[in-house]
Amino acid sequence: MPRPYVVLALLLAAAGCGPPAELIGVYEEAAPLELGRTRAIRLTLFAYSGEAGGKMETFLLGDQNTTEDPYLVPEACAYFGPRDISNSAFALDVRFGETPFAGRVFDVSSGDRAELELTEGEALLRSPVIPGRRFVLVRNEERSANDSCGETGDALTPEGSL
Amino acid sequence: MRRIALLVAALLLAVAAPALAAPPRRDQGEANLRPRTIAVWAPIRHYIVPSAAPASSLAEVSLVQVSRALRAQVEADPRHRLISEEPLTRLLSAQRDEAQSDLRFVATRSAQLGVEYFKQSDLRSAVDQLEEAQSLLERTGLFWTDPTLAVTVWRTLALAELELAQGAQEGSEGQTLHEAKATAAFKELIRWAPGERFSREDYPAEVVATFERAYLEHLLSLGSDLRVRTAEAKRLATQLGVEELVFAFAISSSDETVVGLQFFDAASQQFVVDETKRVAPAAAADTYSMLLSDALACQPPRFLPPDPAGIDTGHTYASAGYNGGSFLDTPTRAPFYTQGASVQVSHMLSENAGLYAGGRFVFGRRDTDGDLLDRVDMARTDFGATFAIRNQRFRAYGSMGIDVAFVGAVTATEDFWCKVTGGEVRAIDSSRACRGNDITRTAAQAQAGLGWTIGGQVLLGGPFWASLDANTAIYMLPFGERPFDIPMGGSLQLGYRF
Repeated sequence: MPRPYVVLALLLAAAGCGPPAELIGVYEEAAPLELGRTRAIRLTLFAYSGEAGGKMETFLLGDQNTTEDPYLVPEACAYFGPRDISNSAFALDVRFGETPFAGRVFDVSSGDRAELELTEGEALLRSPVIPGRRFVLVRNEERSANDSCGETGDALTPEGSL
Repeated sequence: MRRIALLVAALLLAVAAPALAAPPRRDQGEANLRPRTIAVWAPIRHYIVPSAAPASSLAEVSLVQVSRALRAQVEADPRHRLISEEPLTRLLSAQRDEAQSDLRFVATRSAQLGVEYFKQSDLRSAVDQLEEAQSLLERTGLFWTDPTLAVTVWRTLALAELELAQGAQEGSEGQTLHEAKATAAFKELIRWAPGERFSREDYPAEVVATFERAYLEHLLSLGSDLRVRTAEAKRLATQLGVEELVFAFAISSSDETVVGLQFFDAASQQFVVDETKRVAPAAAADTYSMLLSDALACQPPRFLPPDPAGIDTGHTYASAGYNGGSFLDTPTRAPFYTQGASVQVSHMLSENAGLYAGGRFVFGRRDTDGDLLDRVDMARTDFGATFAIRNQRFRAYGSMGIDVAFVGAVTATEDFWCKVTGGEVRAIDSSRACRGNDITRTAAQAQAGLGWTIGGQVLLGGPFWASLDANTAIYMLPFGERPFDIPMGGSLQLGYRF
């Protein structure tokens, strides 16, 4: 009869054959958004074996997208990455036309949420400038990750035009 | 370099396997035979006729020596394996099952009742109960493990029959019948208790006379009724698990000794030697030795074939179980693991060599880096020669043959955006794209090469075995790109030996 540790070793080997360490998901700020915000953002993240990338969509708040329901009509869409994930965080670097937007995404590996800390382009969101402030993004389980920006271009609409 | 090392290892295994499987033996035929198991019943029963002078008979101590000498004589014969030194009666008692214990209880109860009836002079009831007890004891062989009970039954029965004879009409048929029954009971009593005595001080003259007549009849018949009966020998051989049994006894009077030796062969279910000789007491030991030599010489000159359960030739091992593994050559950066089921069948053409065929049906989960864009399923089948060595409980084997693998379609990439698009070649934006040359695609294909397996098995019980093996292969066909090569795996299986 094989000794128990042989069986255990085999089971552990089997357990080691796990699925790839990948993360794919859509992350959004929870509504309602704070007053004074001009845009909402949505991140679609793809992470494979220590690298993360994806697309970032902006939603200009106004008549169509409101603070209570901000994710109806996308304004602009641009890709970022892939960048290395280190300590569950990676650098985010997106260009919407000529407008740069940079920051760092934390807590990626938790799966159900991520935190975005901006270093450049905070004015894009017209949010109060608080150094070190992080925007909490929650995974939207109802929305499947789509790698295409579709018809949405990467140019931002001048504020107030809508 | 790794391939060369594996190839060399494989060649070494191929060369060494036959040598490992079949170490050179001086006499292959002899190695496939085994000695017979044998027991020498001890102590040797010594029947001393009551009127004989103790000094003139074979001394008790010398019979103990004779018993040891017989065992030593058997032990010296390589064709026999003597079973443990433990007293055989203790072995028999240990094997007494629950049913026998119940019967023993009933028999003991009948014997006790018989004795009680006898004390109350209810002779007919006493005889009925004692005959019932005697029948039960004889049927179950309990006389051999509990001679004390035998003595009680036979002594009381003999005395009861004698009293019935005395109570019958003088010269009547009934009186003759009871006397005959009493004599027969005394003869059985003597058989189980050679040292039993009835002195004139304690018993009536008729009792002493009948008992001495019974003893004399044994002597005159050269102990024909003292011999072990065939049914008894069969039962004892079965209970002891031996193939041969040796019984010896001696009857001594003042001036002569009769020695008897019985040699029972369980295979033929008969005594192959059953002899008595009238000898001078001093020659008894030599006579036993001579009779035993004759008995041993009468046995077939060779050993018996090995226990059928230990012969592999012509038998088939079939097993099935879990298979896990990986590949040394893969299109992925991280290890690629497979899991699934495996079956294996080997048929032994000789004790150490045979043919085998096996199959492994596995699916490969995506690698941890996600380089594989889809799961890859595979089936591996191999067939060839197998070599094995085994003892009663463990078996080691090595197999070598042709390995054919059927590998499903493979789509693999290390490119991030190709993983995002799921392998679809297209531009993401002006600077990002999944390009065609970033993806490795292989259609489902068969590949063939050489495979090896080494493993060990342990007997779980009956025909069931558990086995653990390691297997590998090197594929050579088709030439060119093979996405997966050099599988390394292991199987844990449950097997059955047909």
